[in-house]
Amino acid sequence: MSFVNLQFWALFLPVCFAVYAMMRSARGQNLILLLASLVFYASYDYKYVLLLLLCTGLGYLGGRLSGRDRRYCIAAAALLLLVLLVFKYTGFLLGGLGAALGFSLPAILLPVGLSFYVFQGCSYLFDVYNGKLEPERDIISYGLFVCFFPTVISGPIQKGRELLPQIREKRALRYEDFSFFLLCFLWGAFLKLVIADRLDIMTGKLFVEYYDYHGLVLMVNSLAYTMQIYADFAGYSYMAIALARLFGFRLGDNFRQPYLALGIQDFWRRWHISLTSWFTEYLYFPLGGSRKGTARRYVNIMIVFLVSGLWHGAAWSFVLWGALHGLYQIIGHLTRQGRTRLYHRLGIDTESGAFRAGQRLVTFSLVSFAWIFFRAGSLAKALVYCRNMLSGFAPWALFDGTLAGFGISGLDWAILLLALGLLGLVSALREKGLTSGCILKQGFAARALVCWALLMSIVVFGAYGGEYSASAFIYAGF
Amino acid sequence: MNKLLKRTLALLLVLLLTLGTVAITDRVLLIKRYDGVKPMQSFYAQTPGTVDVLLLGNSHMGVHVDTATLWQEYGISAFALWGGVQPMWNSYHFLVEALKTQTPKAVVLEIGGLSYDWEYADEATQLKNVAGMRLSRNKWEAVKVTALQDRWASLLLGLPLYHQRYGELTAEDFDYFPWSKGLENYKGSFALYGHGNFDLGDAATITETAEISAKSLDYFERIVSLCRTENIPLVLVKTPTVDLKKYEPYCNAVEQLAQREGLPFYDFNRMGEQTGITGEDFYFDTHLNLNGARKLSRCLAGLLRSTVELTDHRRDEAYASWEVNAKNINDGYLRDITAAADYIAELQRGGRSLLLIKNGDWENREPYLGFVEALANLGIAETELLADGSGAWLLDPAAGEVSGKDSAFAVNGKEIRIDFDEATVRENGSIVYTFRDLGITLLVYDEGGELLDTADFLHSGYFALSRK
Repeated sequence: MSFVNLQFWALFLPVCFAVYAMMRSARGQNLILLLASLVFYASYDYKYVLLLLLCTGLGYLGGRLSGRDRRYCIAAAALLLLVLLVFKYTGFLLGGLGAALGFSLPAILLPVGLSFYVFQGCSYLFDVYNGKLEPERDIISYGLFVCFFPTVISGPIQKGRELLPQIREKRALRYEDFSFFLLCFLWGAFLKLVIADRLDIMTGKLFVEYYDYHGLVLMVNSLAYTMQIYADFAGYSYMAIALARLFGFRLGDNFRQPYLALGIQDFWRRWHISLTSWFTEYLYFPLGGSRKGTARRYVNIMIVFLVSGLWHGAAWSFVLWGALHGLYQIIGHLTRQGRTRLYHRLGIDTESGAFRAGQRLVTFSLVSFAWIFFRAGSLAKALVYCRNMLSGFAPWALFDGTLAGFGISGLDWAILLLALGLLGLVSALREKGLTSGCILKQGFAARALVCWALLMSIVVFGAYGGEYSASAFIYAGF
Repeated sequence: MNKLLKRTLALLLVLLLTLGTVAITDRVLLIKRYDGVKPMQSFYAQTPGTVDVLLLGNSHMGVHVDTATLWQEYGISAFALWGGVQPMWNSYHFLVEALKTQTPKAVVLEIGGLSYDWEYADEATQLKNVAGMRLSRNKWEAVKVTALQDRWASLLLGLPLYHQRYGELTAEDFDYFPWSKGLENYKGSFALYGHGNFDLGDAATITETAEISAKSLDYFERIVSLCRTENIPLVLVKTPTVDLKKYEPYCNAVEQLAQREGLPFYDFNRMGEQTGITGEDFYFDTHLNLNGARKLSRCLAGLLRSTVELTDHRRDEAYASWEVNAKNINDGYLRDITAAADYIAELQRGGRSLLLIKNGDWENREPYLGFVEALANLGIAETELLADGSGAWLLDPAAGEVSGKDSAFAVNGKEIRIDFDEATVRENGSIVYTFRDLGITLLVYDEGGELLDTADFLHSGYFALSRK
């Protein structure tokens, strides 16, 4: 049962909201949301509800016992990370060994959302350990913090010091929150169903049959995936943020126009902000950050990105994806002074729009190239993909109907390009500081018209039902 | 009015407008299948209480019984509510839906659907047999029995399964609203042109009895029970088929069921003498062409009228849409015909005026002589057509009337002029047709004087039928 599922809309959300609205206390509200969250999680795989409860219990106990000894927090966090290690990395770590020694490991299915709720629990424990947060006494409040259904599957990863205070307070139902919910959710659903799932028709095919294609087709495909993963994950995040707001919670942005970043470092300040923030606070800074010299800084950057790659998936292709981003940053830092001098000598105005556009294009291209390793499935496949992409340019593929052969017809391409144009426009406006608040400040008719247009676009042009198999959110797989 | 009330009302208004837009979008994007969907959508457009005979079942019912013949020759207001490869459970839910607005005097059930031994049809068949139904409890029940659970929501709403049709919309897609006249004027049956020449076996030689699946039998019994409860005579039929080995064992099983239930059962495979259907009346081995359907319909009408009192509604204005349906079927059929002999035979049925134009003379007369012989069946003398020079005649085959050779005629108040120099036909001064090549051209007008079809029989094409 995902956010774009009929059961969710016809049954789960109305019932959950109606019962929630009847609650007179924060504790009652929290209890209802916790129960609803467990039902929501169980709809993915009821067997793993126990694991979710175990991880919740571990975090809660670690926090409660920290009054006796703060090291309980570290012990609980270690256990949580051990759970993640066992379920996510056993095959990766021991698979090669097993092959060498002639035994095979039973396949372990990764519980949905494990990487997210383990990191969320760890963030709470580290905050308690560092004295940034009082341990939560109420098991229901803590349970809701970990299991909250809008975030449990794919984040955004919340920090206890941001979410728990909101959980403790009784939330009033506000018309403004409802307006925000509608607009934000529909925008998220638009990104997911009109853009991401439509692009998935092509990328799903070409990332399997890449060996038959060369040059521009594979380039277009990697660009398509670049937009797909953004529309998919940002779409999910908008929907999660919207749903949280429906129940009175304010979650921070998880994306801030990442493809308008001026450099890789800037990109990571805009992409999956909650994860970047987690790694920065709980890994990069404890490792010393940039305080222990340039060489150590580079080592720390590489460690963070290698771990980030592994967090996304237990495969060498993810490690290489992380390493690429680490290298991008290190090279960027190493060459910064030289580049600045060069621009100065050449008289290039680094504040000009054209220069910034160039920076954005370079950043976008680097990120897009790295996504190939992220999506390919294995290192060997990614390398073959890159080899084929860089051999045989074949520009006629853009004009001879080749692209229409991957499940997206001419009209669908037009709709896709219009939708991407709208995404680009919205991103540009947000970059200029015009947020969704600007629409929400408009009169009722204008807001209703925007929501109506988004809804009708989704109903007609969304890639759902029929010939489309309902595609899961990409990040739900991590 | 306080703020909360105003906001609530505004939200409700937007919600209603949104639902309205979604409903209109659904109508436009709905798959316009001629089987299953169009019959059901058209059924909703019928005036309540006007359908006297409800024809239920799979494509054998939709194609083999001609509502035009039942109307034009007997005044029976029949409606074919059918779907391709329609299993009994969908027939049952179609019947439930039909009885919400109509009180037929007889229900005729084609039992071909009892031969399906699967639990669920393929996805396309599932869709066409429920997509036309309005959202209702009955549709929900139909959906549940039509498909596995993972498709229930999509089938119930429909839009998830056909919303991607936005790239293939035609004018017809915008004519499926409840007020669309096109729907009211459609009575379900589907005419096929063309014929094979099949050997029809002897159904009586097949004596084995097939086992009907439990699910089919269950829904057959529900149909029987519902008709009994509603006090509607139920008539079971097996319309003709070439594939006797497949269907006759089921007919034998139905024979026993019919006896048990006290229902009339007509196996038309065993009634060749009464129907007059031959191997040439089949479009292909599973379906009759319209000629076959006309023959079967006459026989069925006789059987129905012998058991049920059916009013002749032909003079009743309230039933005018059946006349339009009949005209549409016959006109559509005429336009589908591609063989000269079939075309001339169809024109002999009457109800149309023909403008026959002979353009020029030609040396090689042999193929022409055969064609002239056929044309004579329309009432024109062979000597006229064999005489030298161009000319035109106005014919009324049913009345046997032929005008003199001329170049100006009046059809329903329209002045029609043929100019052989410029090779044109003008209606009230406007060019409606050109005939530059040597040969015969027929312009067919309906009773209202509207040009229905044009056909050329050119010398260069050995007088085979061709259309521009």
